[in-house]
Amino acid sequence: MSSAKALRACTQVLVLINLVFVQMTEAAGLHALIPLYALTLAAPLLQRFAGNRAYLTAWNLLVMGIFGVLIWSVTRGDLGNVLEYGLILAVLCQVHLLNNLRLDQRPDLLFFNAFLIAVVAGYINRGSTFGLLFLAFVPPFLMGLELLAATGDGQEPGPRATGKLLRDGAKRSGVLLSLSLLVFVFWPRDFERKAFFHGRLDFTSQDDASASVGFTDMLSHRRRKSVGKDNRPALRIQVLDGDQAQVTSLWRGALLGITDGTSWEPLHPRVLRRSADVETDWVPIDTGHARRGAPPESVVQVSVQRLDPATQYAFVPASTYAVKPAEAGDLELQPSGGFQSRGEGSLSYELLLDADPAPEPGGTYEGRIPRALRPYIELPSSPNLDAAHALAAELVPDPEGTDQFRLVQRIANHLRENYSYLPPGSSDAPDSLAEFLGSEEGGHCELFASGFATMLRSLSIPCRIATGYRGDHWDPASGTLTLRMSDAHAWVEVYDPTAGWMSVDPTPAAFLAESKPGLFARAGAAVRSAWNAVTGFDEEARAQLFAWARTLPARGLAGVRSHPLATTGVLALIGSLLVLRRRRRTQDPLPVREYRAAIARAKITPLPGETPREILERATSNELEPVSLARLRSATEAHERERYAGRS
Amino acid sequence: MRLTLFGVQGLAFYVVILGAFYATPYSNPFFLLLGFLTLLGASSLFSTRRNVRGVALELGDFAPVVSGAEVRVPARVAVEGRARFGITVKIELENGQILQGRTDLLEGRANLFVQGPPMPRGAYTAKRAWVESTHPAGLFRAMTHVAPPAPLLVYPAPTEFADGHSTSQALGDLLGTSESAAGDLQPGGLRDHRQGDEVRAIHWRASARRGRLVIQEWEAGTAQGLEVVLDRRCDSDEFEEALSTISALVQLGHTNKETLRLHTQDLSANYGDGHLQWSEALRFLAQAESLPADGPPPPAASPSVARLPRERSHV
Repeated sequence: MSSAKALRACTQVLVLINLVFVQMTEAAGLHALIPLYALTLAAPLLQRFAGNRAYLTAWNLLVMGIFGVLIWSVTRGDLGNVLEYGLILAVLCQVHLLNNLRLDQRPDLLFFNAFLIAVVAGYINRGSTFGLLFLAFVPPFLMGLELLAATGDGQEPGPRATGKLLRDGAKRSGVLLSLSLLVFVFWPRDFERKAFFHGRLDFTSQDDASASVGFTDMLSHRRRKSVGKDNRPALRIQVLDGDQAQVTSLWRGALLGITDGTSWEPLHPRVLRRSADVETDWVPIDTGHARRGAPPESVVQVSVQRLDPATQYAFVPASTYAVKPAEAGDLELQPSGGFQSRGEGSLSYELLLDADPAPEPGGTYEGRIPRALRPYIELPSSPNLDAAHALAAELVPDPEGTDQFRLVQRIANHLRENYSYLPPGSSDAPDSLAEFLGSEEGGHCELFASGFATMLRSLSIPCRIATGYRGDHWDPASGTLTLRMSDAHAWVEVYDPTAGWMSVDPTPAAFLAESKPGLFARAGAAVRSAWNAVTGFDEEARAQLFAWARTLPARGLAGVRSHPLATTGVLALIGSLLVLRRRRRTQDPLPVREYRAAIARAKITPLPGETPREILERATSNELEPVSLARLRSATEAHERERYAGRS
Repeated sequence: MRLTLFGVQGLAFYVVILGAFYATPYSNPFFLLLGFLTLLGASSLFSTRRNVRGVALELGDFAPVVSGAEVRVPARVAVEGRARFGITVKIELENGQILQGRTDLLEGRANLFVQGPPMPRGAYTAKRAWVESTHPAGLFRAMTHVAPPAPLLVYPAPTEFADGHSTSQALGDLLGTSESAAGDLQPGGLRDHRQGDEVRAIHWRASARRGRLVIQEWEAGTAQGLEVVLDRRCDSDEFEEALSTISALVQLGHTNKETLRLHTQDLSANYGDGHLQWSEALRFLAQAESLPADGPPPPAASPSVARLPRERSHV
């Protein structure tokens, strides 16, 4: 392949990946990007028109026209979309450059633009797809740069040199990515650094309630686009006393009790006070401290550190017996039973969790609700909820006299078994509760919680939605549980006549644990997990990594002791590869080896001091058979070229 | 080591990305990309320097070249170990002209020509010579300097004359002479040996007698031979034409193994076997300059000796 073709291929791949970057951010829909994809793929065919004035004019008019439309959109819309509009313009310029650069023109701008698009796309969408795309982006980027440098003086390297340049670029990609990862791990920096223009420039789209997964005290059915994974730590929990296994995985922040058919919000304090909420048996011990009920026989004492910078909620499990903030007055008990701090930001407190066995739910479904619980069965008459009503009636045709908890479980199991979990922002995610319940495609936890709560309420079973965090991945080394923004979750609390408020999570558990996913699904999960480790990397993660690295020598030694044969085999293989590689490097060039082989085949023994030409003359005069003689002559000439002519 | 134009653009781009990084809240993916970009620049700096390290360059000398022809000088680059990419050899002349030759892939050794465009007549000193490369990313240019070659001589294009003519016929074409040319060389005087004289021109018997090396000079016989007087007091066009004629005489003498005797204002020299080398004649032709009209006359010579410029001989 000539260097010019190779360079054009690299730039074509770069532009294609740029288009995928833009598609990933959903700055433009696929229908708008398809023409650009087509123009990019057809670039080699359209190259013949590159010098044509009419063709160039048409392109320029197209770009200017779209630029004008984008400017008009920006002036009419909000600044939140300026990055996305910029992306569209940038990728359009890329396709323009690809199709209109003459062979004698340098594509410098194309490379700068390509990297800029990668940066902006990564800023908008930090999902694992971006990580994979960037891995695919780096090799053609570096190969293209090397080819560009090689053709800089108007020279065109030959096919052999081009091949070596491409291989060099590929190797360099691997090295640079590895080094980047090392710098990423070891370079000290402030993970909590605010923007230089903090508070003034926010490119989050105003249409999105939240552009990333995280805790919120509001729940919406509407599908959000471009939801990024925010892996910053939100809660850090440490067991001070007691059994870690007794600590719940659900950490409640807000309780949502009212719905308009498309969203859920907390019940108004006036409503809660009027209803005399059954969970208002918290007793202040002293300023800021509170406990409720009789002291349990066994407790687990935990310390909680709230790191979410943007909430006032304190996250307290439903089984909490006592709450003790670090500073008196830090926490205020809310009418709904939750706790809030006076301000946002970091907060520390201790909890005593009831480790006694939970009371058995019981109670027969009666259909008559105490006054205090009536707010928890209210539903608006909204067509958005018709599907939920219908499904509840189908699952529980005759609820009278039935054990209430069994009804609850039946509905929850139906959701868990028939609907899949889709991460927020998935392109396949439903846009409403009706679509979620009707299609069985799946949805995120908010839809599961909302659908479940709506169906329960349609059966007059008191319930509310709890939002907070879920997680139980305790770090064995440090004994802490770190819940991240992406661990935000929504579930339902159902009031049982016997057991009181009980947490029921209708969202299917992570598919890795529940089902047996296929290879691709597991690979996808592994990729997501690895990328989440990158995006959620912080001081704590670094400390854990270093702690793990410090245990490597001991682990390695233990591994060698426990698998001596395998270790020997691996070391032998590595040693063989190294020896072969060294031997290949110090080997004589191919023409010299072939010449020796030709002499051996012709059964000629070189005399001391005899030159290859003399050997050939001797072979000719000895009337060596023609085939061998021809072979020897060819090998002699190749040998002479190798030894004396050099390469240019 | 210096930045290329692409490198300057890249640096400006990096500054923009760095500014954007600090203008936005910290994010791990952005840091990763910024780290990658930083490492790309740093590794390019290191790799470019490493690409030229250990490259050995042997430059040949400039051969005198006729004006209007491409300038070429042979070079050999060699390296041990890993392959090098995009190795360029450059020679800068005193007039700013840069000659260059390049090998895209250097494994072991390679022969190449350092070439440049046609140049006007003159002697050009090579100011410097170096090996450079911008591999891998074209951001930096690393250079290793070597001793420049001897000056480049560009001599005037010879006036055309018909091939295959005898010396006398060619002289007739060039100088308009009608007398037969001297075909035989006659022994001239003896002189002391000078550096550069050929060994075969040594007169051994005379040297034994005198106790020092003596050179036998040969000169044309009674016939005129290749002898010309150049009066440099002329305008530039006439002068260049005269030099072209002398260039043709040099070519003729070299081809037919004749001797050329040249007389001009500050020079009387014999070129050819047993005399000064032809390259000295070309050096004179490359460096000669015309004189003002009131300058000194050329040395006296026999009226039968051809004079240049030709018009003046008819005045």
